Amino acid sequence: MTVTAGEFDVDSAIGGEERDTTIAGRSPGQIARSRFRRDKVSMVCLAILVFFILLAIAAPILNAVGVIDPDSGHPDLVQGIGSMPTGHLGGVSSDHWLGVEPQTGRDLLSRVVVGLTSSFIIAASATFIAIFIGTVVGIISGFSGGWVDTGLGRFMDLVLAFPQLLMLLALSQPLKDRLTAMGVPDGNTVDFAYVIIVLGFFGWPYFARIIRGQVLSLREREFVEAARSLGAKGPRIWFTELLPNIWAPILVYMSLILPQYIAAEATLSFLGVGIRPPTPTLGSLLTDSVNYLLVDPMFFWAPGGLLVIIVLAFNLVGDGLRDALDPKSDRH
Amino acid sequence: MLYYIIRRVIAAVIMLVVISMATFALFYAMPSDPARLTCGKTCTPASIKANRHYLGLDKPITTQYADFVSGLFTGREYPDDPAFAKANPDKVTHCPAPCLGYSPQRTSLVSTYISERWPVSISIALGAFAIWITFGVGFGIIAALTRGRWPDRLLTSSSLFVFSFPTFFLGLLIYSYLSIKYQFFPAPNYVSIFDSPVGWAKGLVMAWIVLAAVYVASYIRLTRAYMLETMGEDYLRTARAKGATERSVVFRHTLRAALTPVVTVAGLDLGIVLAGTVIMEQVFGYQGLGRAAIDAVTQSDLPMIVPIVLITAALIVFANLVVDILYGVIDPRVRIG
Repeated sequence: MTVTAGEFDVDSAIGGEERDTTIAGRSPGQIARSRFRRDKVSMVCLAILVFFILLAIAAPILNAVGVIDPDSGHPDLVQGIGSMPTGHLGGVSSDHWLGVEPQTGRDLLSRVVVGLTSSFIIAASATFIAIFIGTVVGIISGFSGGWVDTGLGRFMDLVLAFPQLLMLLALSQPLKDRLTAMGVPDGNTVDFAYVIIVLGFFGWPYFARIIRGQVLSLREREFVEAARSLGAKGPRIWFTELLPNIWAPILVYMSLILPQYIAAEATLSFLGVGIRPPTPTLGSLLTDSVNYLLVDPMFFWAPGGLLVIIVLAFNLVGDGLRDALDPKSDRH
Repeated sequence: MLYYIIRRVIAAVIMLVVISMATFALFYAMPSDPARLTCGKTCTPASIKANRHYLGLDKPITTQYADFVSGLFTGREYPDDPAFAKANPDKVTHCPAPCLGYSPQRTSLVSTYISERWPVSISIALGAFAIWITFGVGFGIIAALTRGRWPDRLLTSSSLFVFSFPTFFLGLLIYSYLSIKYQFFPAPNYVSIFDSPVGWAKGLVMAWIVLAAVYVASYIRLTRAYMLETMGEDYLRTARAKGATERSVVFRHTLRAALTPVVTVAGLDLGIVLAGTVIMEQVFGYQGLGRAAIDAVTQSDLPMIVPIVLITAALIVFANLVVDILYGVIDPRVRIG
């Protein structure tokens, strides 16, 4: 048996004076962080994501101070046949870095940046809902066992048995009507609320199962026993004892479903039940540009390329996180 | 084993009943009046009232549900009103069992409309399924066996790349560039397999590849992960130690154990895909069940939406049932649980 040097540093701490500097005890979190930092692909992707997230946060401010302008049209720039942008690559110029939209002549870069903000808002909110419900249900279900576990398990089965995509389509009208009846302003707000709610609601059962499995393996451990013998009751054990021990799967799952929701928003818009044009999201921009794919590729590729880059970066970061946080993983 | 199957079947039937009730509650208990939706902008109070009566929407929701279920087994009449039927026998539509309902907007029975559509969706789903199982599992095995070397790296990284393309986006790209611009793929259209098997395959091949691509990507990763997990088991060391050939170790000892969980996932995914060819149909313009659902949604054709949701939910439940039973056959331990 060969043991790679470094893997058992802590065990061999007694021997060798010169090793002392590297032997300092490290928490699992520190180990994961240093593993992640050594993963170059993940670090690059993380940097890309941080850039786009900051850009998305800055977009409303940039829009307010007039750096970007997603709404005003430039009819003078779309004089081509069929009101296509004049100039190369969809009208790229120093004023319009990604060119302008056909027909209206609105600045494409501004619209993509603003669209990015809406897409992130939707995906992040839906992720939050799915993770929140999934964690709470998973912990309660796994810890309680018995009929609570059975009942919640059956309910999860029920939610999963619905054809998701079809439900997202079919529920759009009735659910939007209901939201409007409940006082949500019609138009954009209802569309946003609808997409967030359906994505979040159909997303949590998978995650609840993962959490339940984790909790099942944790609930017989000594620290839970200790907490219980000190008189801790349900919610305290759930959230102060168990929750901190399952943050790793929560983090990994979060990084994996967020990009799925960004893609799902685009899909819903494409199918005509998501955010409707002219409000820019990556999905509505793509839907707008589908018919121009071959005549004005820039119009399609600006939101499309960004969508793929972001989803890919998230997937790679998620993969890297999983490797870094998995104690059994053999990648360092 | 028989006891196990019976128990699973009963559970599936209960699930179907609960799903149908939940669907009914979701759609018919909403504030939007289904009868008002049947005629859209041309509605007058009188026509709404007439449609409501015609579809039986003036009854309590529990009665409506009972009518729907009994219609499934015995058929029903629209409108279900003996006095009206006596006065205008020619205006009554008979809906034979299994009756899924009647769509006033299409002026046709739901079952008639759907029966024209479902072969398209099934063709897309099954073709894609065949492709993704073959390539996903095949490449996954190759990746696991060449772990860490270039075929593995190529397969795992390219699968993650493909996985990052939303299906509709990939479909649009391939359709526009490889079919319209360079005409590498024949234009998508649906011909019945019984009329022309070659035309059937030609018209669907693009949808198969696009739909399969994302699944191939995830199955490569799935198969690889399970293979690697199995390859670390002690019994494989035993097999090698007793002198089994590498071939037999891979095919007889590893594959069988590693592919069991893949079978489960494949069954569930098939159920989901049968219900979810909607994106392919929208991208490539096939007139399948998914397209019917989109049309029904945009026209607020509730009597059409509910049966489509129920049929697809039934497909998923059925796929789950088959997986459960298969699992019981493969792995005797689950029968007891």
